[in-house]
Amino acid sequence: MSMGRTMFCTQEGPLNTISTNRDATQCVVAGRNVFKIFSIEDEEFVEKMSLRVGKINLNLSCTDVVWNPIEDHILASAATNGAVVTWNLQKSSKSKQDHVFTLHKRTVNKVSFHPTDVNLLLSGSLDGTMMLFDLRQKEVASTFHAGTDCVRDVSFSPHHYFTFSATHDSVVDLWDMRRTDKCERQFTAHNGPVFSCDWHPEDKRWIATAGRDKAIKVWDIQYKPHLEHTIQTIASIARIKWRPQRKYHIASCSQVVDFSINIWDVRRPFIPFAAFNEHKDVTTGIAWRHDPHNFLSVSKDCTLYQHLFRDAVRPADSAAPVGLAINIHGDVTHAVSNKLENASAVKGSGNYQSTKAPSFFRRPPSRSELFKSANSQVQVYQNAGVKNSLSMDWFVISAKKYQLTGKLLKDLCEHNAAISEHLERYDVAQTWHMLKILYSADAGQAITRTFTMDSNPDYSQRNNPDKGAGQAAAGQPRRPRHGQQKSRQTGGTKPSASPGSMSGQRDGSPQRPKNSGRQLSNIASGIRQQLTRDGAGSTRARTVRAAGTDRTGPPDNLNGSPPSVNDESEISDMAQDQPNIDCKVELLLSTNALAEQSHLWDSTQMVVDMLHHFAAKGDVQMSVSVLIVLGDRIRPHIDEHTQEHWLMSYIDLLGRFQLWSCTNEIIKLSGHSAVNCLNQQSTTVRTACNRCGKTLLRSGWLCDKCKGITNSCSVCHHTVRGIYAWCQGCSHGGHLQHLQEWFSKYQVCPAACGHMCEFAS
Amino acid sequence: MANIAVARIKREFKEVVKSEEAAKCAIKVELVDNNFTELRGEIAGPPDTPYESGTFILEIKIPETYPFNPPKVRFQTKIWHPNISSVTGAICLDILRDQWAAAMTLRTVLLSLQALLAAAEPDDPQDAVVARQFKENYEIYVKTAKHWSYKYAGAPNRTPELDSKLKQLADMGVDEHRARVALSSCDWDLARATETIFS
Repeated sequence: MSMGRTMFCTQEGPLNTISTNRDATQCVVAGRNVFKIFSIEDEEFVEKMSLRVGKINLNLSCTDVVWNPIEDHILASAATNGAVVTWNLQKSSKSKQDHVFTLHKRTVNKVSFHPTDVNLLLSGSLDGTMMLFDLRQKEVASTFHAGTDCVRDVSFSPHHYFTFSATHDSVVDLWDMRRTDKCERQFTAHNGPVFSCDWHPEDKRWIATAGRDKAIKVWDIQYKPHLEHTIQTIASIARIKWRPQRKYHIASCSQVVDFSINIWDVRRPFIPFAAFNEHKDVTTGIAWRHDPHNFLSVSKDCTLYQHLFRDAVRPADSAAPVGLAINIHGDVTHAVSNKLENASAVKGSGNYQSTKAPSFFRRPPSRSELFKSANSQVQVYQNAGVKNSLSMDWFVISAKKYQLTGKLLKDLCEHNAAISEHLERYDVAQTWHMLKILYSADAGQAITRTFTMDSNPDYSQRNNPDKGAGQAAAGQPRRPRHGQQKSRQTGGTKPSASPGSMSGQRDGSPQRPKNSGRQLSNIASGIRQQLTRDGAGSTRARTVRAAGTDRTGPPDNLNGSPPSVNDESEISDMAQDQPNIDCKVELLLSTNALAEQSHLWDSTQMVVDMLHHFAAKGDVQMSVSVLIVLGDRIRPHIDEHTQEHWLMSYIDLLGRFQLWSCTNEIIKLSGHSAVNCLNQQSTTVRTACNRCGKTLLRSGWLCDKCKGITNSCSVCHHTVRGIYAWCQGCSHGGHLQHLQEWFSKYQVCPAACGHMCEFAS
Repeated sequence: MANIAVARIKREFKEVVKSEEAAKCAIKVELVDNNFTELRGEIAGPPDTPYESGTFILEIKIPETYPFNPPKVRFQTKIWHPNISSVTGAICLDILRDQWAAAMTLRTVLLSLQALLAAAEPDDPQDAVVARQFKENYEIYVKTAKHWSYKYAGAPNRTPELDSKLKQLADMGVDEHRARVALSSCDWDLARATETIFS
């Protein structure tokens, strides 16, 4: 590893470009307000000199700067006003400016020194020309014309003395500097401007290009230019630079959007090999310090950074080595690397193999960065079973069949309960039944209820263990209806569980309604769990029962599906109470007297908890359905945002099942302004002119483009200014009234097309 | 008259007047009264038919219910054609009856009639006598139609041999038109025609 550390220094303005001197111990950075030379020390950047002194025109921004690769005191810079300036650091005067070439008419994008000839400087400008300057004679040696295109980048080949490359809009030219009339070779490299090109420092055949089309391409130009590698990026690329001593690595920075510097391995074009995310604005220049682990960068965020490879982010490390997805039909698709499948083989084999492993085994990146693209395979497993736990048929059927409005609450609940029962979702059915009892008896039982409340404020029935047990037993014969055989017996034998916990809760009388509500929510959850378990598999149900009987503490497996009540202690209470409460509720549902009971306490909080519970469990359908059915009875007690969240989730789910009609109904019934808005969006449908196809913006009958009137009425042959009614079969139509009149007499189209507009009436 | 009918007829009237066909004198329409309920149409006999260069006058009556019902059209000029009554000028054309469509206009009606002259439909006749002659003795039909066109529609082509037969009957004191009808109906068999007239 090299010396130094990741460090930065902030400048007074945005930076456009950077270049290092011959041995990369100093660097020059330039921007609109900055033109400085820094010495790179181990711990910091030390400013050596500012070149912005004397009578330099302060209005121009420096677009590019380059240090002479041979002579350490010569620099060249390019400016937006077309000036190419050479600098001599050995000058004794304060201003180091050596010579100014003002031959370009527009911005000079790039200057490049010849890698071996100290006196040759090349510039490329927006005016479409490239100029080769001879620094000894201080004049232009040759001018190359790139046609009308602006020159984005120029760069001498490090391998051939006479060759240089130039990029324009979508093409790359290869020039021989002895021929000024015509480029040697030209090839179309990108779809859009090519902002950067970089010769491979070692491989003579390779040149990399990058441009606005968000691609970095590596070309083999030995013979006919041949595309070797393509890297797709997320934003247009401003600069690319090959990483020294690493044949397949190239650094890139984006012009917009992406502020990070990515180092790509060209053989793996999907995820950067390494990324440096220090900059807060787009990076404008990259310069390697002749060392694969150390480079400098400048950015529009006014900073000059030194990056060390050991501080890099390795995006591939955080990428999942396997992919898994499931669709609504229960089909599973699985993508996995072949290497991972043969994991043992990889581990056991030689060094080369194991270097591929890091990204998959999450080891720290190995010192060797050799790797090649890993093969992977995608497998799709189709869901063969018609009914399995993944099936969402119940959701679709419920969505289609639930009635949410238009009837008495009692009937709605009954209907929905019947549907749930039919789908073998007994917990949901039971919930509907309970809702029916809780809410539909309101009016009729009011008097009795008051009486009960006054005379028996202590809920003796429920708190007396013996009586509870007796009633539970009485309720048993009704039980088999729901296939609850298992829980019945337990319920009968364990009556004392409930009173204990209940008396603990019932200390202060003002709190009582709340407690009762919570208690009942426990009951509801208990039912749900019991039923779920019975539906899912008998083994778990037995476990629960055993736990309840032994009373050795809360069974662990209950935590897997926590009910709506968030309090952990209540969960365990519920777990213990579960069997006999279950019976009690059965009783609640089966006896008439219970309707009175249900009003002894305020059930609202319980219902709210129940809705939260269903939502938490993933059955947002139930929450939304109950919300809509109960409407204002429950609405004010639930947070607006929660309601909206449920509704939106349900609508989203319906959308995935393409149940558009259901979606629409839910939106209509939602009673929530934000959700209702969904129906009001994009409701404008514009007609188009029947001649030119242009959208009619001003009126429905006059086309601005062809200055004509669109289809007239087939009957009266006049312009239709209002509703244009037309036959969907033959597209003829006109005034609604005229068509009505026409079709009262005829069946065929008024336009004589012969179409039987049979649905007309 | 209903507003829609007048509005439409005005527009269609203009359409005919400005039409290409009107410029070539193939069709023409003019007002009979000022409230657009009755019009007089004119069509030229189509070329390469017995009706060539003739001018046929049509009586067009626009019903109150136009355009829900077709205009009532009748030939005023006498014409020898299977689909047009040689006695009343009534026309048998589907678009003027059950196949009427609101998309049609005066211009298309006139052009349809012109097309009818060029392409008779003897299987769906209005005038059974003409239709029979058309099917059984086409040459005589052509001659007859030419003769009628010359006589009533001002076509230039004379038919001398028919004229002479007509003259023979006329010499017997028979009214010229009656003689022509009789001769035409009897395929210009003088004896049979004489018989029909005098029996």
